[in-house]
Amino acid sequence: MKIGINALYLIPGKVGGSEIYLRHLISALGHLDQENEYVVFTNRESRGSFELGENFREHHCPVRALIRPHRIVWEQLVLPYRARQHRLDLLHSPGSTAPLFLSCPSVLTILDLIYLHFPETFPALARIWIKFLVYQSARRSSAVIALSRYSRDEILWDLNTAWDKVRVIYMAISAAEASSLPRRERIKTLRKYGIVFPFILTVAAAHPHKNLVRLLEAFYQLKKKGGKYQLIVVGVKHNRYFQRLRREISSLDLEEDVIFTDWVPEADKEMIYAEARLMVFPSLLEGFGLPVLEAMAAGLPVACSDVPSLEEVAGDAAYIFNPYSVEEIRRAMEECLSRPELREELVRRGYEQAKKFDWNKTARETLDLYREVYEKNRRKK
Amino acid sequence: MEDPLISVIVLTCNGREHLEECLTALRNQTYPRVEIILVVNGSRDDSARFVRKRFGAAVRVIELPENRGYTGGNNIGLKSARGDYIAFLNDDTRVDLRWLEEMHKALESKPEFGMVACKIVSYYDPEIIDNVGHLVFRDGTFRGRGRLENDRGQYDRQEEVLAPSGCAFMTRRDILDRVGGFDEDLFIYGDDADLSLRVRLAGWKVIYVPGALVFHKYSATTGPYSPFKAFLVERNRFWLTVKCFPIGALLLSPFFIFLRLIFQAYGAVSGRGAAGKYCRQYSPFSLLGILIKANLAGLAGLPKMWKKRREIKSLQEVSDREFYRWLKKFSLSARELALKD
Repeated sequence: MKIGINALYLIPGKVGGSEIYLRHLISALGHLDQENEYVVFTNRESRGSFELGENFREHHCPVRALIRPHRIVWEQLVLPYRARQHRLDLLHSPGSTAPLFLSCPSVLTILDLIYLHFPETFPALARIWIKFLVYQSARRSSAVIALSRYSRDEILWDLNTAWDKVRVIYMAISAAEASSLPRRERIKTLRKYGIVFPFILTVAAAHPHKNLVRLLEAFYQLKKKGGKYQLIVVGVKHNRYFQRLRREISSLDLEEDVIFTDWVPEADKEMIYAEARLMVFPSLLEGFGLPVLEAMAAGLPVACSDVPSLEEVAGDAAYIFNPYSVEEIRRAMEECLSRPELREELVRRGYEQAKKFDWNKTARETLDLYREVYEKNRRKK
Repeated sequence: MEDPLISVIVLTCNGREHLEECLTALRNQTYPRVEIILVVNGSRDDSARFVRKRFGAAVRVIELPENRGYTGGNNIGLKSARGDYIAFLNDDTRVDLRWLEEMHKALESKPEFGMVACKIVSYYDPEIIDNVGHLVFRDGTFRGRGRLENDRGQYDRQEEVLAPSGCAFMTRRDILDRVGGFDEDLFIYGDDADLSLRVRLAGWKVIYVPGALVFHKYSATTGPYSPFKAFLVERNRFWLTVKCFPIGALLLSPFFIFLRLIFQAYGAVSGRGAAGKYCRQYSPFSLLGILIKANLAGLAGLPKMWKKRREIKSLQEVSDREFYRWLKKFSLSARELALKD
């Protein structure tokens, strides 16, 4: 088979978990599969940034993903042509949108449907486009990959997709490499970000569904009761919603204690995970919820919200709370920071839970799906 | 042929206690193809979480960070809706299992039917009527008919009404596309009347269907008369007349405003009607102040509303004469308006 992977949407450092998904998927496919050929379509920003196996080729496209209309037009008008030039047997678009007119079958990963449930995350005009493109991409794809069972349900209901078209393939984490640097070095790196105290970690972009406002309020309550921690927020910032968060922080007088690090390089992120005391993840809706797994693999106790997709990821290995209740978030943080037996239990269970997710498995299931789609298409002809 | 899809839009704001019953009734409808959209309009409680757990993805939950009003919330729900028919429902209700089926049947029966008004009775005492369509007073005030009457079967015939109550009604997608959704400048109160008049002006009729039964808890979320409500009711009334009334009726309306005020003053003094209820808590002079402020605010919005009027006129298919006929046929007297509860 000759398989294309549409990485045009990927802006390194700006698209959150979907970047991790794509990079690891490509790398795991490379380890697993040496016989099929792959063509990865990259844009200007991500050119040369993928670790590609022998049977992988990069086709660099002169598109700037930062200029979204440009990328969309290119994806719709030029990519199909390139796909035909390569004589692809199928094209996988892991970024929720795909070319609508393709001469080969399309496999689409829908990352989440946040734009439907938290519409104000996006400006009005963008919303119209996203809704149209995602819906049509799903309709015209031979298979849709959902990142969790709950996400699959949403896709079935909200996008009116045929039930046998949507497959659940979980993401995974790579085995945490214990940071090889001595502790002193790690602390120096953290200080670079302004991290000086023991800290609570959350990994979340500045979006409404990440529920950072309630987290800030809970953190404020925790501080009032005497907790001496910083709150580190690792995730993309600098959008409209970030201003709202800034206002909240200054009104609660937490400027010293809350640090937004923006997107950080992988190595630094590992160090941050290694030194954190707790991972709290109060999101209201997720396609999957990768930070929860990352934290578990790094040996952090995890407190997360009880939304359906997170339940699939965390199992019973996390301290679960109601994300709409500031009091419950505060209590979760307090308990997880102060009770050693609880912490030990959560860490132990976390390791077990993280083991259940494996990139090899993800790659294998994805490859199986590629084969199914390819066979079905061949038979149709 | 497949049944057309009906989208139901439910708005909720801190109304978690109502949602289980309200949404279950929608999930159990006899009509086969339904899409349920819940717009969480700036709630501080965990309604969204509750609904997701209880109904999974069968109810599409849309979360808004702030209360965008009845108009903003419904319009956002409307953008998400895919159905050919759109029903709107308050969260503090339980609908009969044949609610959608009955409304759909009525709308399909004649092409000129554009909106359906429901038989809304009190949830706590179903023998008491809450609303069976709206009546209008010549100053642009709308009031529900049948309110607090005992149900003696007097409203059990399908008949034409002026407008439905925003609490529960249905219309068609193509009609909303034509006349536009709710007017977000209104925010709340009178927005259902405004939409209905625009639909009527564009040539459709509103039909009351007694089989579309709704049990409504009433004033669970709107609350008693407050300065806020009084202000908006008055200001929106003014804007409604500017947008929709033919010029003759618009110019005459001040007379009717005056007439209403006289009756309301009497009501304030004798403790009857809305003015009476208001004055139990707040001073009557503050009511007058609010009415003046509201009309001033109304005047401030005049240029914008006049522009909207021109757009509405451009879509108008009925004659002004027909409009006067409505004012006469579906009228409310000043006495009833001001003094009845």
